[in-house]
Amino acid sequence: MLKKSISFFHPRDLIYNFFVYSKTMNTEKNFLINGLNYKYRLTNFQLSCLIEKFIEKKGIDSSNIAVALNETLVKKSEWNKTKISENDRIEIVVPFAGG
Amino acid sequence: MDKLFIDGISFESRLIMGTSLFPNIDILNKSLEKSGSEIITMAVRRLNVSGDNDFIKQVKKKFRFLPNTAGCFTKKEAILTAELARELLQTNWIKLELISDEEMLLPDPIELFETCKELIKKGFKVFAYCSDDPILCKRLEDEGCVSVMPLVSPIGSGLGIRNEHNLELIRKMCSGLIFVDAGIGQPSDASKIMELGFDGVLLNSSVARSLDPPTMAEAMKLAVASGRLGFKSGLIEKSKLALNSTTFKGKISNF
Repeated sequence: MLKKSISFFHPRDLIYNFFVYSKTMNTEKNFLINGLNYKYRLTNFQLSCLIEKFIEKKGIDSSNIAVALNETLVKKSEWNKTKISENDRIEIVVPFAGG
Repeated sequence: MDKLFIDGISFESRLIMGTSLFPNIDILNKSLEKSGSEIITMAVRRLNVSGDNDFIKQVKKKFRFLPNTAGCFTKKEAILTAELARELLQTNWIKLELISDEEMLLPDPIELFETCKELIKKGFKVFAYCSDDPILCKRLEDEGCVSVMPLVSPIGSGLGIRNEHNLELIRKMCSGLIFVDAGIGQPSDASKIMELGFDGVLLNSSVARSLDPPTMAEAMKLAVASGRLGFKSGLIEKSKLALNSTTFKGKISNF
């Protein structure tokens, strides 16, 4: 019985944990951004990382956007403190012409 | 012209301009310049991954922004849009638009009233786009809206003033700021609204969709100023009979 208990530092479990960890980290996760599905392989499940991934190479300045996660505003100062999960719904908005 | 005070800030112009539907950014900038406006409205929309997202940077002059919740049908949508706008534009001003149908774009008064209360609690300065119902306008004002903004006819219709009597009642019942925010078709509509004692006019389509938007913007500016000066100088009472302006006294004779 004792042998079956999980020991994080046991070499066998260390290898197993590393395997599980790397598998999780290397799997593409789906996020619904502005109503469309996007798959990203993230190493860090912070909202700020996802936003960075999304706007990179698009020439978009992050100071000109606002973000909501699952229908709740997340202030810019909170992006790097906010955890995201697979299938989260993210809205990224900009100012636009309006009457 | 007397200054306009909104939320403790003074403005020279009583014309608020919308920024949508202009043929291009140059015409928009020229029109905003000619309008003399100091406040412009703006919307919040999803980032366009393949297009232009720099609208705000393309507006040349410095303006105060009045973001809107255009296109929102529910309280939840409107509140989140307002919060996103506040984060994006760093202003707690919000033009609350909460519409009830896609065809007429008429405001939903019940949802609007409830949402106003919630937004005010959250620290927003609410400019409530509403129907031209005097009681609703009064209730919104009492609830603490910075300004009520009744329509005179449906958005973008250009139908102008459809119920002048209601506008007179609204002005009589509400002591705070009132702007007209939809339905203006021509400069004389804007002028008439100002003559009725309204504090200002918000318009977009009548300028943006005209053949020459910068010139129409100037016409609207002059119309708003003219109506305001007329109102402030005291319009004469209407009479059903003629009142001669040239005296009969001294007339040569009655042949």
